[in-house]
Amino acid sequence: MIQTRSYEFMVKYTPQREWIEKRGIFMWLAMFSIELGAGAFVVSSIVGNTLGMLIGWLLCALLGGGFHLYYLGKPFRFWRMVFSSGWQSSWISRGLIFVSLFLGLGLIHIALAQWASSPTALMIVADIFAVLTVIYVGFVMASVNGIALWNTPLLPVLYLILGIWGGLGITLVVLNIAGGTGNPSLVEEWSRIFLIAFAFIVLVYLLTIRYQGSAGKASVQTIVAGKIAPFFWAGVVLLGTVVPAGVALATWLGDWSIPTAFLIVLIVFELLGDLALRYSILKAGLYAPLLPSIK
Amino acid sequence: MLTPGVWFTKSPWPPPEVSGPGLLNFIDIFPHAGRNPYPYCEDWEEIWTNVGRPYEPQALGLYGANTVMSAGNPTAAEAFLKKLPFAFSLNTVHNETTEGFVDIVLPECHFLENLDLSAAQGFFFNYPIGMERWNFHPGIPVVAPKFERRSTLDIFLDLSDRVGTAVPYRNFLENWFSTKHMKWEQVAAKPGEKREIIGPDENIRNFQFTDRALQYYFGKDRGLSWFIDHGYIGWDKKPEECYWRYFVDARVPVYYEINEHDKEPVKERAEKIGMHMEWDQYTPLISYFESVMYKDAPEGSEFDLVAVSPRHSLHTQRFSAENLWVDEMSLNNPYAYNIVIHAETAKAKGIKEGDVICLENFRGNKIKGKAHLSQLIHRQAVAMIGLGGWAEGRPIAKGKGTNFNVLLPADHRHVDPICGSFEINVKVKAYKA
Amino acid sequence: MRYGMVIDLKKCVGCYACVIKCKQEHFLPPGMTWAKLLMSETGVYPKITKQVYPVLCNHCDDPVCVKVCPTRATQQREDGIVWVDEKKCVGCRYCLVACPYQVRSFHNNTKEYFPKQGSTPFEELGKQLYPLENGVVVKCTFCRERIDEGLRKGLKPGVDVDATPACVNICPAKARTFGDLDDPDSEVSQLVREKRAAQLHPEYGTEPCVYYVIA
Repeated sequence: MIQTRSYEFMVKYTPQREWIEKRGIFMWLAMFSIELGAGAFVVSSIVGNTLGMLIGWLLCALLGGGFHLYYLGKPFRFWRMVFSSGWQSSWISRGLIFVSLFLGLGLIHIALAQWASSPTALMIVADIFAVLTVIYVGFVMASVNGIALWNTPLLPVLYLILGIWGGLGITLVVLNIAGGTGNPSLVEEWSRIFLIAFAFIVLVYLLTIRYQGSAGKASVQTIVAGKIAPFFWAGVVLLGTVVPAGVALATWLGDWSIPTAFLIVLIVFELLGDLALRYSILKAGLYAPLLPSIK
Repeated sequence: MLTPGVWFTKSPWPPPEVSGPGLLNFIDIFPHAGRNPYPYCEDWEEIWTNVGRPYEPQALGLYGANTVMSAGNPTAAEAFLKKLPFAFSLNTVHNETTEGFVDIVLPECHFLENLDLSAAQGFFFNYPIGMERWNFHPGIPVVAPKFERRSTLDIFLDLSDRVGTAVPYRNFLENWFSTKHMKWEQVAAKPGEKREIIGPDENIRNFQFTDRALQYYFGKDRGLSWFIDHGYIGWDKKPEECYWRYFVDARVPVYYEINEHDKEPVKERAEKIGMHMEWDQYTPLISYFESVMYKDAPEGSEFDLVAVSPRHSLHTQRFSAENLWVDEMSLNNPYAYNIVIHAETAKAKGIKEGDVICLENFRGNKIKGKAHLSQLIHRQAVAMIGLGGWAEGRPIAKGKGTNFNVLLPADHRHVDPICGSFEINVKVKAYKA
Repeated sequence: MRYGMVIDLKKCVGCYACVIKCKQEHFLPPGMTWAKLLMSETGVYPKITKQVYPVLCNHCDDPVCVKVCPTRATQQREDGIVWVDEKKCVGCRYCLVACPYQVRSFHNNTKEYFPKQGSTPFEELGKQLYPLENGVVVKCTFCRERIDEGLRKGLKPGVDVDATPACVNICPAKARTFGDLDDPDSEVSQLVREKRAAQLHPEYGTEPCVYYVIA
């Protein structure tokens, strides 16, 4: 069913390789870092934590930007993605504009918040571009109509939830370790809400794709029962969902709070779940065979 | 430009009288065999001893050949070649035969370097039908030969001078390229006979020879320099030239009396030297005889598959395997380098796509290759186009495909008693390696 | 003007001449082909159909690769040919991922044909005549350099050999026809109409300009 030999290319379902294998692994890391960083900025800006905003900004700019640039074949031409007319139709071009505006306005907001007073309007605008940064990768992938697993409006929604959820986690870590402005309990509560949202949206996403045609079915099959299943079940389900949910339920039932060190471990598990899900989606993207099937 | 019915072995008709044995390949015993796999057979030593060993082979000359890989069973070929005191070969690249068994390799130039008149001569069985024009296209070099490579004709002319066959060789060239006598069986020149292209002792070389031949065919104005400028010459085709068989007043035999005539003399000579073959096959009417492979491995034996070696659109013999582009295409083709086995047969044997499998014949000869599961093959067949190879001089071809010939038993039982054909199918068993 | 191609699968013998000719014509490095020959089987022995499909860039009328390109390196000419301006390509490979037909290639640090032995004269000639930039996406261009040069000489693409894509010329079975799909009297348009030639995966909505005569 799925290509394993060179002569099966586009004769069987052919995995997408460019954005996950060899150097493509940096695309995976770039997508994760950019969305996580932008999400951390949004959450930290809402709770008013400057350090959280800075960490989010650095994640996005240095790691996300760095991984993206490293992946490009001609990195020194990156400016063309902003200054050509590509933004009229290309989500990568739009995304880079969002990222650039987020990073620029975000840096100003961080600086003002740290040493003076930042206008709320600036924060809002920076947050808007941060949210657009979180979500644009979902649109980049959703507009690939050749890959059924990606070609769904649920993908940007999923990535938005992932980005904000990850941002909640980063902010919680910052609040627990370094303190500063922000209510850790409130952030923790929202993190649990987003955990439920995450589990729900993943389930809906996979079920929707499963019934979207044979290519979608093959992709979901690969994720839940094929080569990628270990990453999915161990990373996404166990570490990313079951363990944090179990602990959250235990604390709710037992009325006790999680020790800081354990909380950080749980957040790391959630981030690993995020990484595992992105990996699964990138790796399980399949192109439908080119040849018409003959009855 | 070519005479219908011309072939590059002895003329099929009239067949020679049964004679010998005296030739190394025993063709003299078998008048209807153009060629056979001898002497590259496992029982050659034994049979030659039965003949009385009238002489021992001293030297072998090969032209563009790779005997080890193409003559039949490689082990049998190697056994014969190992004993030769001297072997020389004309090749463009080293191969398994030259690297293992040849003393001197004369480098022949690449086809793009070679002025080659014979490139324009087709085979009567596959020249272009249809009413497009005839084209005569000698091989014109586009680059000068590199290093010390020389054209084929220059090498042969030089060799003939050195070994003392200058006159008969020039005679053959004259007969063949002037079309006076395009047969395997050559005749000496008649005294005073007009020479059109090359005299009996003329010291000319390829360029001059080709120039004269072209002028002989097409006129004084269309010698080599004209062809260098124009590349080829064409002219309109007549139906009677293209579909010549219809216009030939020929009789096609349906009752081969000659088989009845030759059966006893052939049988007497062959049996005497230990070649016990199916003489019942000498029937005057075409009849069906079961292949010897069904006796080697009867129905119900563990050797339940028939190994075959079909042709492939990408490969011509073995030299195409050394072409980089053809190799790249082959890697992306499911049938080229793999052993093709029916999907259900494979499943029953626990074989999956891409598994390395072993094919083994009733004598224990084995080969290995990767399995490709297909519906495009009989359930009892396994197919491989048969490449494989280990020569360092063929780095592209090295290790690609599978050497089918290893599976073929090479002895008199597996040779057709009439036409000398080698049985190229064999019963095997398949299992995961 | 919209250049397109019709491939008659009843004539195609699967000889790979088109794939190899394209490699030769554009001096492509090892492992890269702009055209491909896809083979599959459908059915169960003994009722099987073997499918042999030569595929190449479809030069779609509504190409998704042009839309997704962030630098406008991938462009579509007025005659419909989709090409990549290698000087603008940033190597993000979005077009490569987005193409539902997977007919694009990424050219990056490709090896020589004979590693450790330097480039052959053929490869050296390729670097002069048809240099491929490193780190960019490349693909079939319908041999636009042949078409453009041919038009300059007053030749007709699809009719005159020197103005026609190399793969069309080399096909020994004459399975390929090239011409203007917007001209209803062109051979390609007639073939599409009369032989009911079909596109691959029209549901992707890209309006491919390569058609196949199937049955």
